[in-house]
Parts: sequence; C-alpha cells; structure tokens
Amino acid sequence: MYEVLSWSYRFLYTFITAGFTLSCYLSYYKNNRICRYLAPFLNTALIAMNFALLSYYFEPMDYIAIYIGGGLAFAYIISRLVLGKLLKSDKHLMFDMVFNLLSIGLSILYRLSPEYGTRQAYFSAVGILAFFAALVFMKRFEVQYKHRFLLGGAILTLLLITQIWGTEINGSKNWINLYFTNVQPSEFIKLIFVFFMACLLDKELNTWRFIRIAASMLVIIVFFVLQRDMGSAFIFFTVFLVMLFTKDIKGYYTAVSAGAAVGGAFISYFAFSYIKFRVLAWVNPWKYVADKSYQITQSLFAIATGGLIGTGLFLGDPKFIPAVHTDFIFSAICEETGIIGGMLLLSVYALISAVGMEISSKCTKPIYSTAALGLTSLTVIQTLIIVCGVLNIIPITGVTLPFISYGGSSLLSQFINLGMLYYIDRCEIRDTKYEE
Amino acid sequence: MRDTRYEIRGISQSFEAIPDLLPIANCRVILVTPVIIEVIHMKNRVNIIKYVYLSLFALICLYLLYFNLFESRVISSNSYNRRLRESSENIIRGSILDRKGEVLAKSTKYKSGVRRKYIYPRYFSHVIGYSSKTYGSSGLEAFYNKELMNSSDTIETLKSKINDYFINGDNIKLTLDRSLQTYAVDQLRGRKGVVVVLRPETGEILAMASKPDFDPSGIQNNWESLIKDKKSPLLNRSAEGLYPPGSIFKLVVTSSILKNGLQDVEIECTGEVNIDGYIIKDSDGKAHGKLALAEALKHSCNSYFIKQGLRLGNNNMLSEAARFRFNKNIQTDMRISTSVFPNKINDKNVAEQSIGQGEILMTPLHAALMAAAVANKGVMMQPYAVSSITNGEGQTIKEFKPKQIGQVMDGKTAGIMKDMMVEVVKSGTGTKAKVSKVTVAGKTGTAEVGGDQKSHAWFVGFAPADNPKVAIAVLIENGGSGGSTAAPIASRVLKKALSIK
Repeated sequence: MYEVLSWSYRFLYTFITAGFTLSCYLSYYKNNRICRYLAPFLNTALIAMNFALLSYYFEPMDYIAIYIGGGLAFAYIISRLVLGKLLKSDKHLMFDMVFNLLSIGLSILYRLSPEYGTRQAYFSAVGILAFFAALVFMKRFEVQYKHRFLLGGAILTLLLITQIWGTEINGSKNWINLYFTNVQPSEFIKLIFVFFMACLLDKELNTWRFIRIAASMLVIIVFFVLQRDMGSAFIFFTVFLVMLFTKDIKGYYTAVSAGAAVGGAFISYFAFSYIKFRVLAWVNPWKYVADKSYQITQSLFAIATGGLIGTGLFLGDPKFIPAVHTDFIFSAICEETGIIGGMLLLSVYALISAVGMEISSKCTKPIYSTAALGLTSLTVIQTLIIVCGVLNIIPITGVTLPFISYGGSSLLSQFINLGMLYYIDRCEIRDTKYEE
Repeated sequence: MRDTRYEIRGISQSFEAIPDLLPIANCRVILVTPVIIEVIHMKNRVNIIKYVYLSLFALICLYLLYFNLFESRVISSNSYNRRLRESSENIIRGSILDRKGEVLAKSTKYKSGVRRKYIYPRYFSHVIGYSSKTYGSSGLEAFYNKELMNSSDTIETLKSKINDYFINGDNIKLTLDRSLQTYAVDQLRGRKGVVVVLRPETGEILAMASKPDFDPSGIQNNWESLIKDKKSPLLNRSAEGLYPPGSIFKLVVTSSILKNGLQDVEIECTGEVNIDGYIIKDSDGKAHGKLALAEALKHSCNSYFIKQGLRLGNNNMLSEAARFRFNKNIQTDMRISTSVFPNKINDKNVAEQSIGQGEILMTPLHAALMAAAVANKGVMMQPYAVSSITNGEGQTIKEFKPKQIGQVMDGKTAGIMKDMMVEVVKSGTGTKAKVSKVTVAGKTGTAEVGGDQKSHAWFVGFAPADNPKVAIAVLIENGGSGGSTAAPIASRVLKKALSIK
C-alpha cells in the first residue's frame, strides 16, 4: 500500500513544489499579493505531506517523523510571525524559500536514515535560533573599516586552532572535536571572511593595497591546502574573486588573481595525488567505474534512474551512493523526486541568489553591500560547485548543499548567513529612522 | 524624483512608507561625486554577477534535461548500475520480439516466481543480453530495462499495485530478423568473429552475430567461468570490439583521394615501399606495375595507397576519418566503442595508417556503416536494433524512426566508389563474395595483428549494387586473408539477407 501512495504522491509533490516555486517567482517579480500568501501555505502543506508519508512507511507508524514534521511546520509559522513583529514587514520570501529547502532536505535525510534526519532536525532548531541571534548581534555590532584587524585575527586564530587541534575525518583535517560533537570551523570562518574582505575592499584599490589583500588571501588558502580542504579553498577563492570584481574598476586585479588561481590549480594537480585522482575520475568516469569514480558513477546512475518525476520517496535506491547524505544528496533528490524536482530546487536557489544580489545592490553602506554580495555568493557558489560536481560537470569537491545536506556546522553557518543578510536588508530602514 | 530602476520589489512597500529612502536614485541626482560614481559602478558589477549566477543555474537545468533525454539510457545500462539487479517480485518483464513478431525472450509466472526464458539463447546472446538478479543485465535487456520493467499504462499499474497483481512490462520489437540471425551465427561456427547486416537506407540492424557467445539463461550458474574465460564470450564484439581495419580502411582513403581529385594519378607499384628504411610490402610482395585508383582498390595495392596517403598527408586523412565518424561517438541503442584514428605526423605512421594498419581501430558495426554509407549515396544512417515498443495488447507506444548521422561524402563520390567496389568483387580480391544473379559491391581486408598470429579477415560490402538493400561487415579473428575467409561467408549471408523483407 505504501508503494502505491508514494508512487502517486510523486505527482502531487511535483505539482506542489512547482506551485511553490512559481508563486515565489511571481511574488518577487510581479509583486503578486496572492502568491505571497500562497507560498507559505504550500510550503506548510508540503512539510505536512512529506512527513506524513514518511511516517506511514514504517511499520508500525513512525511517530518521530510526525514530530519532526509538526515541529518544523510549527517552527516555520512561529518564526515567520516573530520575524514579522521584529522587522515590521510581511515579506519573507527568502525565509519561505529557505524553509522549503530545509523541509525537502529534512524529509530526504529522514528517508535516507532516520538517525541523521533526527539529528538534522535538532540542528535546524539550533539554526533557527542562531538566525535570530545573528539578527540581534548584527544590530549591536556595526562592522567598520577599523575592525579589519579584529576580523583577520579571528580568522587566523580559528585556522591555527584547526591546524593544531584539528582531527581528520574523510581525508580532510578540518574538524575540531568538542567532546559532545564535531565542529567544522571553516564553515564559520567563511562568514568572518566575507566581512573581513568587505572591510579590506572598502577603501579604494591600489597596487599596494591589493598586494596586502592578496597576501592575506594566500595565507588562508595555504592553511586550507595544509588541511586538505580543497572544497573550502575553492569556495573562499571564488567568493574573493567575485567581491574583488565589484570593486576593481579596470579589472586588472581580478584578472591577476584569477590567473594565479589557474596556476595554483595546475600546480596542485601535479603536487597532490588525491587531486589528480579526482580530475582523472572526472575526465573519464567510466574507465575507473569500479574504484576512483565509483561514487560519481553511482550518482549518475541515480540521476539517470529518476527520470522526469522520479521513483517516489523510498522507492529508489539512492543509498547505493557513498556519502549520499552529505555531498551527494542532490542525486538522491533527483532519483526520488525526478529531474523536475532537481530543477525546481535549482530554481529556488536561483531566486535566493537574485534576492541576495538585490539586497547587495540596494544597500548604501559600502561594507554591508559588499558583505551581502559575499554572503549570497557563499551560498550560491557552494550550491553550484556541489551540483556541478554530482553531475560530473566539474571534478567532485566535497562541500555541502546549503540547507539540505546533513551537517550541523554547515546548517548553523547557513542560518547565521541568512540572519546577516536579513539584517543588511533591513538596516537601512532603522538607520534613516534614527536620523529622522 | 523616484528612479524606479533602483526600486527593489521585495521591499517596495517599505519604500512607500518612507519615501525619502531612495538610496542611489536621489544621490545620483543631487550629488555627482566620484564616490557616488563608484557606488553606481559597483551596482552594475553586482548586476553582472547576478545574471552570471542566474544563467549558470539555467544552464545546469538545461543540462539536467539533456542528460535525462539523451544520456540517461546509455548510462543506466552500465553493468555497474546495481539498480539493474534489483527487481521487484511483482513484475513480469516484457517480451522481446524479432522484426516479424516472433518471440525471442519472455518471462513467465510460476509458483516459485517469475522466470525468463530465451527461446534462441545462443543466437541472440549479445544483442539481447542477459537479465539476472545477481549479476545485473546487459545488451538490450539493460538498455531498455526501464520499458521492460514498467507498464506504460498508468491506471493499470496503479490498479495492479493496489491489488497486488502482477504488472506486465512493455515489449520491445527488434529490427533483427530471427532467421537471418540464426543463419549468420551458424556461418561463424567454430570461429571467433562477427557478422553485421544492416539496411543502408534506414540503419536498421538485421543481424548481429558475435562469436564466441554464451547462454543467457545459464548466466546464474556459469558466471564465474564466463568472466574468467580468456576468449571473453561476454563481449559484444560487433559493437564493442575494436580491431585494426586493414585494407577496408582504404575506402576512407579512396574517398579522400576522390575529393582531392587525385584519382587519375598513376603510381608505379614495385611490390614494396621504403619509408626511411621501414619497408612495407604488398601482399606476397607482388608488384602491380603502373596503376590508378580504380585498379589499385581492385587489387588492394598497398604501395599505391601508401604513396597517395603520404601525398594527402595526415591532416587530410584525419579529417576524412572524422567525417566517417572515427574518434566520434555513434548514437545507437546499445553500448558501442568509439573507433580510433590517431593523429600522427611522421611519415612512417602516416604510411601505415593509409593502409589501415598502425594504431587505427574500428568496430565491425562501424565498418558495416561505412559500407552502408557508400550504398546510401554517401549518407550514413544511425544504426538501431529496436524498432518499437508495444504494450501487452500489441499496440505501439513508441516507434523509433531512422535518423541520419550525416553526409559522409557527396552522391557523386559515392557513385564512383560503388563502381570501384563492384569491380573488387567482380574481378579483384573479393571474387568469393559473389552472389548468383546479384551484383555485389565490396572490399576485402587482411589486417595484420603483429606477432606470429594470423591476420584478421575482413569483408565489407553491400548488394544489390544498383539498388542496395543490405550492407554487411564480416570479421573473422585470425582468419587469414579477407578474400578467402570472410568473403565466402559474406556471400552466403548476403544471399540469405536479400530474401528477407
């Protein structure tokens, strides 16, 4: 009976997510009032149905899934109301979209492994609190040019701590063991890094200043290379390039940095065997299908099996892919909710990037404007890297899919990122009121 | 005063509430200072980045669609796809029928479960392949796994799922002819080799025999010995086997010679060519004397083709080979290897390659396509083995239409080449391929494999020459000379093939 339900639910799922995505786009581009209220409604319905289906799968009924679903829906409604009170506005498009991602992520994680799903649910609760904490914190602490040493020092300290006390998990030494849990400091360094770069780029660029910026960038990259965390190195550098590009009128500095990055990539290809393996597995995955490219080919099988609307929740075999709950969760989503499910997910990310960019171009404070750009780019670039990776468009780099992949540090950092963006979006209003 | 360009939709209402809050718009009107200009500059850059991001997302979505439509089938038919091994108990896999509707493979429900039966097990072992719960599936069983495992009738499926009935998968109908296939396989008895027969105008594969073969119904018990067997019986030699083409590659060189207008150049053949000390002999070291293209192809004169090949040079040959789809994927409904023409610049390699030796490799299916392209006025068609998908009631759900790969040569060149190939069979190296009352066009090949091993014997051709109905490629591994081993088989198979509709 479950099979029939799940099999039929695919159509409903596709329909609802499509409706949600469409109403997000309409409320953003056409400022459609109905769609603005329709989106949260559809989102809640999606959460309810996803988890109802999941709980039905187990024999006897799995109440934990119901609790998670209920809790998620409850948290969504409450935080939306609180946000409305706090910011005196009823437009929370970004928040709706993030919750859509979160609910899809939680349900697919719960489907992959109830244990991970439950843990991720706790992380989400902490994440939502962190979101509000970030809002409050940003209100208290205004980032200025003079804070650059403080921020830089914080980054360096965290990197040093990781270097010295870090433990190695999955080949990367970028974890810190805090008795009760493992933390990935690079996820939080990202956020500080964005503000650090925003400060440095606040003053007009000249060669001397560029050299100093490049030097600090180099130090960070060297640490990541030492920790064998290529995913972070890649994200940091790309975000750096994007931020530099907006400040660099003639474009020479960006070109020089990009050239250096290409050179660095070449050197690391020959210097590090694990990078070489990944590139080989990317160029010809079918040649190494049994070993080096086992993971990526399994991911391609999953996506190829899904077809347009997928096999239905619990009816596919995404667990054949190693590390499916972190790096390869997009393949699992594509297998069980289809190519259309994947495309809708990407559309949501695309709209998040558009909204984030608008926040940046609207903000009048240069530091915050650049920071908003950096914060959005963090999410977007990370998404692009991992999605292209699992589709074998680029060599695979182990990073998480924002708001969806399993991982406490990553989820927390994403929520803080969102809180900061929300603050930047609204800070104008507060300031002018103040001046009045 | 309000510049709507900078109005952000997401929060326009807040703007209305506090109308003085028009960040850039006002500044631009009131203050034009360098700082503001820089701010405006930055907004443009942010917009650029925004559109870059949006277009990247759109491109990935398009790629996903492309992947789903064109790549997913080949990818999921890979034997490492463990999903092919998982099969639900409640499904009766669809049947596989030949072009006349004769059943070749079907599943039947027994008390103990569903069993798949192959009616002509060894005759279709590579084309149809096997389907096993433990070892996955291969061939068309893998390629059309999705269709065979699912019913196109959604409502019927839903009903069966609710009531726990068995679901009948869809059937696939092949372009292959059962009688021709069994005949072709019998011709290869006791040998390692391949026979591929196809229709030049459409690309339909009529027969595809590959030896050694295996019994798909016994795969469960024989797996270990099959994968350890040095003769690699599981390999579909016709589409995945790569062989040196030898003299049949001279067809590609001939096409290039014709396109460059060099057909009338006469060359003195002394029986051997010396390239910087490296000597390539004609077969048996026989000197052919002075000859032009038509004569040279007829006798498969190595000296002539080497000298012409050197005159054409690597670039001409490489581009001609690329036009014949060397180094390129051929789209079809089975796993196929890509034929290789390496890019070599030194004279010795160019000389070797102009007679099809060196490091050139070709699949027999591709060789048949090459002959078919000459037959089909220079147009190469996409080969295919499945003509339609039908449901349990025999209604057609999906039909596969012939598709062109491309124009390999113009019609006139194809016509000249056809006449030359007719001469090859009439009075050249391929006389043993003659079929009574029918004009056959063809080309033999004897590909040296190195070491003490005997050469691979090739024959490619088509018939009837004036109105080609079938094209053929025959390859006998270590069979000796093409004219004496492959050509007679081609003759018999062509005769049989011309009798079928």
